[in-house]
Amino acid sequence: MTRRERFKQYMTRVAAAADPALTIEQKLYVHPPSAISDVIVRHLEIEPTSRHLVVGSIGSGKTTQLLVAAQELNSLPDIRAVYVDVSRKQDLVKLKPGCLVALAGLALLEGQPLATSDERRWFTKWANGYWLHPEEYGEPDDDGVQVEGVVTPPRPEWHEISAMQVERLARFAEIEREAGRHFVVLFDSLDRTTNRSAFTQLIDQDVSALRRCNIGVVLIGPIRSLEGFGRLEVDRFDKLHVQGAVDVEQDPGGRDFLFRVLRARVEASMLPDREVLALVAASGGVLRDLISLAKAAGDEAYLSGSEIIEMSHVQAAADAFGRSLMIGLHQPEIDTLKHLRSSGGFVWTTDDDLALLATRRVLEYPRRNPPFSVHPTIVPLLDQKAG
Amino acid sequence: MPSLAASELGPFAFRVLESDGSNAWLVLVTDGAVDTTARMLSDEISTLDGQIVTVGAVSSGADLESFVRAHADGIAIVTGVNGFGDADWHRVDLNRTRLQRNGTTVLVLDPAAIEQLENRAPNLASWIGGSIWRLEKPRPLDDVLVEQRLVALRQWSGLEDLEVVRRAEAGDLPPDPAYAEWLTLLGRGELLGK
Repeated sequence: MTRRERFKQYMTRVAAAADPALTIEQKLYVHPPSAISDVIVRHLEIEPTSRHLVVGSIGSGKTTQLLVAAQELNSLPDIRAVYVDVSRKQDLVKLKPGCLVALAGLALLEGQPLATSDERRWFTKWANGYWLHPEEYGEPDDDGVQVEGVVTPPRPEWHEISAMQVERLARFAEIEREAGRHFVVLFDSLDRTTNRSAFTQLIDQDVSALRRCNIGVVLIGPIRSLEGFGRLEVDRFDKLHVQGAVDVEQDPGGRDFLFRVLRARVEASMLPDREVLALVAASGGVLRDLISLAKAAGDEAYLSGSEIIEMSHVQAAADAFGRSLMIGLHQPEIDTLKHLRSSGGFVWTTDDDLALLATRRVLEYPRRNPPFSVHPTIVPLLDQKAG
Repeated sequence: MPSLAASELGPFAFRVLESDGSNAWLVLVTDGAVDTTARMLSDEISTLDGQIVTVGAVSSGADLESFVRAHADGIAIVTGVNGFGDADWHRVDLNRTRLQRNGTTVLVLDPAAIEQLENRAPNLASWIGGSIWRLEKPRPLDDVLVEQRLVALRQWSGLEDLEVVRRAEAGDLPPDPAYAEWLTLLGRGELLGK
């Protein structure tokens, strides 16, 4: 293999933005200690209709954990799990109540031949929309005027979603259970939503409706769900799972895990142990940052004519990464970072604080006290500024 | 804000070629005209490797999604994001999955736009990581630097200059950007692509 071919192969194996499904497919996945996929599967195997909210910083490996959980759930004889990347099916700018119910139903119907063709047709039309010509009638059940009875039942929690379609979905799920399998749906990508009211409405309506249908739910939500009014969203779920950065500073197990992540992709003859450990430290325990840094270090090594990745290449990669993280920071944010750096103090009170977490300039380690830290690649640049 | 890592156009083109992987994203920040820079970069990449590069100007987040759908493979250079407003960056970030490509994507933009990207589109920024360079004007190489680089290339390949020129003339040189650089350093750029 030529030098160029070796480096090309390296680049392919450390593609930070590659589809996480490829990582599993190519057997590059390394199972983390205390993986949230394990916890989710353990819960759902005994309580298949439970609801789980997963939150965590960008690049922390949430999607991969969801894919692994779906795979493990499908290995159980009495569960059928489907992973749905919401952003692939639904424009996230146009989130509205009912879209998770619709996506769950479409996914359920894909593998279920037993639902009647009429039911299937009406549900699919409701989910995907259809052309209605003036001479056509709508759905027969929609016709007529409702005469209120004396008894007025309470409004269901999912009152903004067509009750008829929720009942249809409940029947589809019932058919699935009669065939011996509970249906579980795992929704990805909703962590990117920043429209608070749209997301809260979605959770209020759709998660309640899916519970009515006895469908298990795992959903990746925005990190702000953990604070303030967002707590109401958490309350809609039975269990909250926080996927934080891996503590590579104080937890040898965490360090070892990330070491194995890189070792599964690259041999020591190309990336020696010492350089792997330096990359792990520079990543701050964020999985995608680790892979991204490894790729950048490979880039530096190749361009400098080296045969292997050396410490100088790791340092150059970390420096470039830190500089990119500093882009767009204004003085108040820099002051917050300096304060955290010097005193360990970080209080998450404003949207700007949240933005520092969301953009990984501040990392959170849920099991460490104090839990917050500045991204390691920024530290030397902050110290230079302080100097 | 600390200055970004700098790169001349040639070495940046080299980086683009070597970033070849599934859905690699790079950013080139320039104070100059982004369209001209994008065209020059495209030419540079084609000269180095003979690859066909797609260059596209987008006018909105939705337009960027359409561009990606239409050009899922190969190297793509995208301009136009300088004109993105908050809503465009927001859309791009929300629907990041729709920007997934099989090839390498280069965004050519100005310093104000890279700030917007980092702050308004953190999910996309996470794909890009540290792959952001500020375009630097080419500096003339002095003789010492040229010779240092030639020594490195000779060591790497085990070939001498004359052999490389002979092979280039015969059209036998492997399509490796390092040989393109070698010929350029020898002042024999006219042999590129033979």
